[in-house]
Amino acid sequence: MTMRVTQQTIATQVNEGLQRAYQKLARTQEAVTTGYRINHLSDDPIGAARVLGLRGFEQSLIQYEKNLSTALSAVESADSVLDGVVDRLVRAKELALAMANDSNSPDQRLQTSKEVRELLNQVLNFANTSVENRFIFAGFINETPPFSEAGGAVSYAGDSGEIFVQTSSISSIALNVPGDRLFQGAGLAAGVDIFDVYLDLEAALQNNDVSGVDGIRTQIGRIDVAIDQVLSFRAEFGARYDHARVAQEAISVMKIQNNERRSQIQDADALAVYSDFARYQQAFQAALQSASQMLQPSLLNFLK
Amino acid sequence: MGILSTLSIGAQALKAQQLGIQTAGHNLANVATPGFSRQRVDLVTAYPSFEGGVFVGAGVDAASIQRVVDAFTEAELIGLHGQVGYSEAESRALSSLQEVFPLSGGVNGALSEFFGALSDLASNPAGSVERVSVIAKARALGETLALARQSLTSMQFNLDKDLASAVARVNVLTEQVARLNEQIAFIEVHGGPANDFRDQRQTLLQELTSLTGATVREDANGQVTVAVDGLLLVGGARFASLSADGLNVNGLHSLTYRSPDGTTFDASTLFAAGEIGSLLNARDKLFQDVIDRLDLFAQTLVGQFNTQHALGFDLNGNAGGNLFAPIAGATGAAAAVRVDAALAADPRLLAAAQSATTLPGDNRNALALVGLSSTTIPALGGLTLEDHFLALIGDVGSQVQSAQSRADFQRALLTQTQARRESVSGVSIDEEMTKLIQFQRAFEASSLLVRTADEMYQTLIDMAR
Repeated sequence: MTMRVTQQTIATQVNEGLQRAYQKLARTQEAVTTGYRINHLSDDPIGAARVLGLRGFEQSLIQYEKNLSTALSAVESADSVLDGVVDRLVRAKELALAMANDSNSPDQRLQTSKEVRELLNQVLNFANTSVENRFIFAGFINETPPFSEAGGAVSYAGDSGEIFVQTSSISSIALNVPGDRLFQGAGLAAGVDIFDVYLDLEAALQNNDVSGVDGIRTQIGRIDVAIDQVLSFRAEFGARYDHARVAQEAISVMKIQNNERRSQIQDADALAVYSDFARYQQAFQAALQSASQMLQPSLLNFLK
Repeated sequence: MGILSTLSIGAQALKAQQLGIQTAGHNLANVATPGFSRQRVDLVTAYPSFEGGVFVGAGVDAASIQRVVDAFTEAELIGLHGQVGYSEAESRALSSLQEVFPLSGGVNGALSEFFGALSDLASNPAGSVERVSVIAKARALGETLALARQSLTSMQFNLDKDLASAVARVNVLTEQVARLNEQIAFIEVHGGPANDFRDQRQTLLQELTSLTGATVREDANGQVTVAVDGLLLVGGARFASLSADGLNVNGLHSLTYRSPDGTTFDASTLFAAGEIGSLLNARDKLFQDVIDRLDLFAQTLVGQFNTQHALGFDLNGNAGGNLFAPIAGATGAAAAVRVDAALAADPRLLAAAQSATTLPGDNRNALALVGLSSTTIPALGGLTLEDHFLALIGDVGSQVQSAQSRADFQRALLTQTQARRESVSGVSIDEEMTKLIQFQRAFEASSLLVRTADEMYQTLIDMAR
């Protein structure tokens, strides 16, 4: 049976057709203006949830980047301090070597002891370095200077805390080395207290003691150990620096990849969207035109 | 065989053609009336007379005026209206639901910013800027959650209002259908089909099933019985009514059914189809489920952070207090996430350290708080906070998507069926005009017959003179 077609059939068809074409046009228009394929959860529920997850991951990558640059600047400032400490130790060794010569007079040694005292003060200052009001060699207790000299000995008021920051969801990096370990050898296998070495050297020079148990020659050996100790921490900081740099590079690559992945899921394919837009526009115009021609004629037009 | 019967054929024919013209006119006049079915005059040859050994035709009879309908399509349309009513209301409700969860920012954005601020605190645990920032982000997270929950509950109340107006409309419709039942039965007992009343009733029934998903059965006397899952809405001239005036525990309306004989009971759970069923489902299940999950998320978040925070020590060396104001139960939790009042007043109370003796540089508790971002939580089905939220969003999105495609499908089916009905029952202007001309010519011819009969009489009279 052929289908009867009435004016209402045509009118409904025209309305539906125009509405459909217009809806498609509106959706494509939204994609064109936002640049996104997914504008509502329902556009692609799985994709939308992944987009949100990737955005969250991007946030944490940005956070890790921030943490890494904090770590890098902390490591750099610690390392430059240690550079100064090594210089002062080398200078102390030079002085000790010179004064170990028998040709030096007790007076000369006394004079030199003053320079050693000066070096001690400098190293003490280094050990009490603060960055943004935080003493970087004080462990967790970093609000007050960790090292102070009293009664012929340098005491440590900090603790052995190490401040870690996250560099990924599973790894972290320490910003600091506790001062007692670095400067006083606490917890090290053959650690030496650098301040002790200076104090002993000063005393030996003052007492004109060259080859006694605590004499200048003994101190030369201890200075070597001290230099090694500081250098090993410089190596440690160097390693952390490298770790941070590598992590930073990895994160910037991950950020790009993450962005690409999100873009693949969320972004509209510009070419496809524009050609769709043109296509739907054409379809819409064609629908309008055919509608205007379809709705016009009836038998009335021909009954005169 | 007399001239009289010739005259009678002419008169009958004039009457029949005029009926044809009037019916075509009625059809044309109602070309745009919703629910109208075109009508047709059933013309039959009149019972012939047997005269002089032959059957002689006795002209035409207009037996009746019938509407042209396909009962199967009409019944199908009523069923489809129930489905479309359900799926369109569902799709509308869910489309507004998804706007609570934007694709950038929103609750998960606020959550990751909060974790970011905690991470900054870990880098500088004594920093006052970092501490203030953690508190500000915690507050923003609470406000975002509260806003989301508030949007959800206000949408829930809007659904409730829609329900009330749907119920009011049902009451109007059941009464009108009952009236029409009465009229149709009366008219049809006395003769011909009650065409126009039937069209009206069919339109009302479509709207009534669209609202309630009711089933319709036509009885032998032409009346319809309308029922929802065994609940009688209309039976003959009797009709039931609904009211939405009681309030349930959530401050939302419950549905009361009042039968034609006056017994009343709560029918909130009995309506599962049509717009009303859909509104009840969206209000009490879909939206409530999302609200409950958001509340669970908020309650777990507050509990987890408070527990970890209490393990730490603040800048004054005291054990950590609450980070968020504690929440008693899950209900309403998402609207109650606030920074603990004491902490909000004094950022030093933020417990970033793990021990009272390692201040102020100890960041281990701050790190532990950051670690909550990757901690899986049994109460959240073994997911992390963020993943639980993303799962919620994924579920909402899938529900919206399938509801929309269901609604699109049902709507397309309805359009097709309506087109089929239109094809059978719709008025074609051209067709009616053709009939109009046809009947007009027949009318002219019949009048000629009357004149001929008249002239025949005249001839006979002249003959007799």
